[in-house]
Amino acid sequence: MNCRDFQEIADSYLSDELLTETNHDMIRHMEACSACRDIIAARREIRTRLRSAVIASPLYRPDEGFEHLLLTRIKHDLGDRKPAARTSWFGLRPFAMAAGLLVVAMLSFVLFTNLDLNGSASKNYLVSNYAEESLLNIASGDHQHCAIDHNLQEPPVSLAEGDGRYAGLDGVVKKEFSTVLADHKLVEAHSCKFKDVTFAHLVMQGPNNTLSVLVAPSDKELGSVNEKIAEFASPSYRISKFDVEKDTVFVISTLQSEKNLKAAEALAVPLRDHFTKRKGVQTAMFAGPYYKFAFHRDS
Amino acid sequence: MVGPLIKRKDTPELLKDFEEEAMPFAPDLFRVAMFLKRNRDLAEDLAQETMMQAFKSFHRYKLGTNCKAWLTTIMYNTHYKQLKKQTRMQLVEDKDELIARTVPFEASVPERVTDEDVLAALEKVPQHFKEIVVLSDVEGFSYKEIAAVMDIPIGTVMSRLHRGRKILRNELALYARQFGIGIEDEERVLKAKGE
Repeated sequence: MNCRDFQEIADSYLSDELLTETNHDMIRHMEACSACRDIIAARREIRTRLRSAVIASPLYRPDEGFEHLLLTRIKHDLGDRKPAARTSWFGLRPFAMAAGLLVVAMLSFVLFTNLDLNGSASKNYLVSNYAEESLLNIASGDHQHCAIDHNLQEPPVSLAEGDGRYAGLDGVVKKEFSTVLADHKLVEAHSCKFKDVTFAHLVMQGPNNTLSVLVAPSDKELGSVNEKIAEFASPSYRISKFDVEKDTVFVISTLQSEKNLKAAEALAVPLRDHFTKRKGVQTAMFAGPYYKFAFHRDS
Repeated sequence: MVGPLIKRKDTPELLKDFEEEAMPFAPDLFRVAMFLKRNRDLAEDLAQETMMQAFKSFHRYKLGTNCKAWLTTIMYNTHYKQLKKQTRMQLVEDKDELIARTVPFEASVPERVTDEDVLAALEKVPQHFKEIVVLSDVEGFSYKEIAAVMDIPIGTVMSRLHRGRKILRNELALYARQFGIGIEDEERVLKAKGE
């Protein structure tokens, strides 16, 4: 083997892609030729340097939390793909179907319009001071079970399929968080249900933090149209809460209280504006396993 | 004759296996995607799409086999599909191949070059060669694995690798010369030895 032959297959030698016999020829040649020994050493060096340079470069490294983001999407995708247990209603007689829908719609509308929107706002409370069934606890439970554990009993549906009043919330949240939470990305915007409460749920993913913005009709105990943002703490999360029109907004994360509050502050005015624009129309949304029904009325 | 009964894993079990087997390669996938897409957002999308596809097919993956190669193959398939959609796929030998043939000499590796120099030199390598150099020398795939991942003959892998590495070495040599770092090219070594 001469030096030219050696150099032609030097890379394959380094990649361990040569036949054993050819490998022996290479080794024999190197024993006798210092120039080719240098060439092999140099090529090995360049590979090592190339590998370490690429792996160390931030350009080729994904953002922190990338793996978590991937898993989140896969899990949510799984939720979306769960069979929705749809049975055809087309076989039913149209009158029976319409009558059934009307009865359910009327009953649900009565419930919707009887929501008590009065109450008093709270500040700096622990979530544990509130009853398990309070909207505050249910919201933090939804954050845990939906955004973190992905184990809700019912798979989420899109915002558009959920309560019509919440359509477009994702645009507002994305825009307002682009500065205060620049390192977070909106990974989910859907409507989900936890303990019989349906939330508009927007999930932001940042480095080592998942933040939920949850919007639901106000509850009796805590809900009121209060200008202030109330802060709460649970062993795991920081929660900021404020009211907009007939809804309560929760911002839940593991961020420091200050940062979580800042995120809520960034949303408060734009969300109030958003809901004020929709004030003229009230929509009640009813959903069963086989149908969805929206009822609109002027306020 | 009845075949063996294969119990298909349920979703939580599959997800757990997927998290253990496939997720650790997410950064590697992103790295390869960056070389394919040249854009951070597109690379993230490609890596994400790859992982989604991989999870959907994960019941077909044999645990303990080369998961990184399997994922990279899915990534290339996804990438090719996207290229086809853009109808920009180059089906004939392209300019990169022609450029490579005109490489004048082969230089030895310059010393005292920084990581930035190495990355700058890699950037100069035409895309078709660079991809293969990265798959081989950064990601550690064998020639056979690269051929399977890219769905090209193993001979093409070898020739592109040979050319790609040669261009990289020459780029590094040229780069080093600009800064006065002494190098000796391999062609000169051969000439000095009368070959």
